Amino acid sequence: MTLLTLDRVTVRRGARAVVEAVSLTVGEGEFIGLIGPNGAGKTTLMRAALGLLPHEGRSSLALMPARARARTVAFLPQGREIAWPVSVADLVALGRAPWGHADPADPAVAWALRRLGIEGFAARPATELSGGEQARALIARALAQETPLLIADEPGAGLDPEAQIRMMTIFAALADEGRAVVASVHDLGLAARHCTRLLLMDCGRLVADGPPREVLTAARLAATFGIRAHLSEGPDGLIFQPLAVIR
Amino acid sequence: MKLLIPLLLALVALLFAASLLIGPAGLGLGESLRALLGGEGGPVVLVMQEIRLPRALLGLLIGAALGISGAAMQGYLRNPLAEPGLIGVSASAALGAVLTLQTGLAAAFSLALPLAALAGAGLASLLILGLAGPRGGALALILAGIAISALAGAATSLVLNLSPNPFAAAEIVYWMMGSLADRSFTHVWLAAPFILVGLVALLSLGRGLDAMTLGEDAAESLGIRPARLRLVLILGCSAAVGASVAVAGAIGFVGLVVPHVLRPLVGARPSRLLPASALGGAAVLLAADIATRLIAPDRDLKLGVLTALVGAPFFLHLIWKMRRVEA
Repeated sequence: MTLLTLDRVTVRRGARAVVEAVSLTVGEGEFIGLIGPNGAGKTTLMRAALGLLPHEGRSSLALMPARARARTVAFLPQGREIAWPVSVADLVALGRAPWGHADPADPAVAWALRRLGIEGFAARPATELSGGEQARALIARALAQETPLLIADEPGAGLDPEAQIRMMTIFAALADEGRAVVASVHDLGLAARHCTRLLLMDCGRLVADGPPREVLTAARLAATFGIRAHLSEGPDGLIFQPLAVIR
Repeated sequence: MKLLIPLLLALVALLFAASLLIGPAGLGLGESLRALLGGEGGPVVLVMQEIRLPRALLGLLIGAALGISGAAMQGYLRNPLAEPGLIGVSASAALGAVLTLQTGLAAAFSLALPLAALAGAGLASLLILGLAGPRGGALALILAGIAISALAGAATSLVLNLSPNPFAAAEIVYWMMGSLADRSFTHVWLAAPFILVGLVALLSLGRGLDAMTLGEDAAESLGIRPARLRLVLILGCSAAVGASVAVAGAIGFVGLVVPHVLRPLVGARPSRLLPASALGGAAVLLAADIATRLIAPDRDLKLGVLTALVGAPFFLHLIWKMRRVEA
């Protein structure tokens, strides 16, 4: 089933198009890595797709009523804001808001906490956790929303390798269960290893869309990122190692 | 803390009763209650029904208005330093009031002052809606509020500057200090509808403010409409705070400090902080008003002076604690 359809989505800032005519569909079971250099338009595209930004073209999510959309897609914004020292359980329970009451006793909250392995922190103030623990608490918040689609903006930023691999494994498992995850990722090694499909953006345009092996080619890496990299097949999938800047 | 709301309710009830029973007339307990509940004529009945009851009611309503407005504003802006006066409504209401004092309208017609203050608050809320309405964000709201406050403050200074004689200036300065003394039921009837509408509007924001804990984008993705939230917040605060300033003058620090103190006791959740801050604000204002009568019974100590005198050092203490945690 298709969970998200974008049809020629364009976002302009003044006269300049920061996202230009992006069309794509996201189906169940996909773990999609949205990649591209800084300023390529990844965040803008995600926000437009969610209906958080005025845009031209059509996004199936942006057209939904607010409540129905909140039951279809969960969003993890960049920056991991937690304004108040609420308990981790209360924080995760915010994900239940679209379904009625944000009740920390909801079974979905306990399930999400277990899934991220943070049930031991449930009573602690979320602002006192380490960066990696906060990231897990916020992912649990998104899982508690029980949506078929999860969109995450740089969820791995600032996390140590263990936390990053854990996060990617959870996203891949969610896709395996029939949900879909779209995450912007700067670590192309992680993206190559875990994602089922990559979307490569450059200067507001979608320049490649396909399995990691097809998207991460030497020519494209040179053209969009300006880097040379080593690509090889490992026992667990594609291995990507950036080597040098070439422009 | 499940007991917090019942405890606060009990405290407010106790202070409300104390506010009715304490005063310069020195009435006995039984005598006061009899006069309050029934009886006609006589000085005791007059004191209880026409002086102390409206004063206690205004303390309750205005304290609740300031407490909940502070909690809502802090929740929306995700900033513990936000306070109800931030959107410029207090300063504009004060300007309206000061104009009637300056022109002598207040002396000629007793309701001119609160009505002009309400008009000032209404005008300010329209301005802020225009500047930071549907498409504005938190920053636009803060900046617009600062600008409106500054403008209203400057105009108030101009009025003081041009006041015809020192007595007029003194009257304005005294009014601006904030007080519940000598208010009548007319003031209660004037302010209560606005304050109650404001309280209901702000209480309805709990869910939205909870979601705002995660930031504006995440809140919107949870089904909250930020533009609507901001609209209800501005209208609710304007009604509650505008009406409060209109009948009592500017009373500072209650809206800032009360949510601060209660936040750890409600697990920091904005939705739980709203009702707790309404009750906490009512308790603090009733207590402060009682204190003005006990500390200097014959000097008319102003309520706003007392709340600032107690609130500011307390606020310094909070900053000191915050500084130690962040260092």
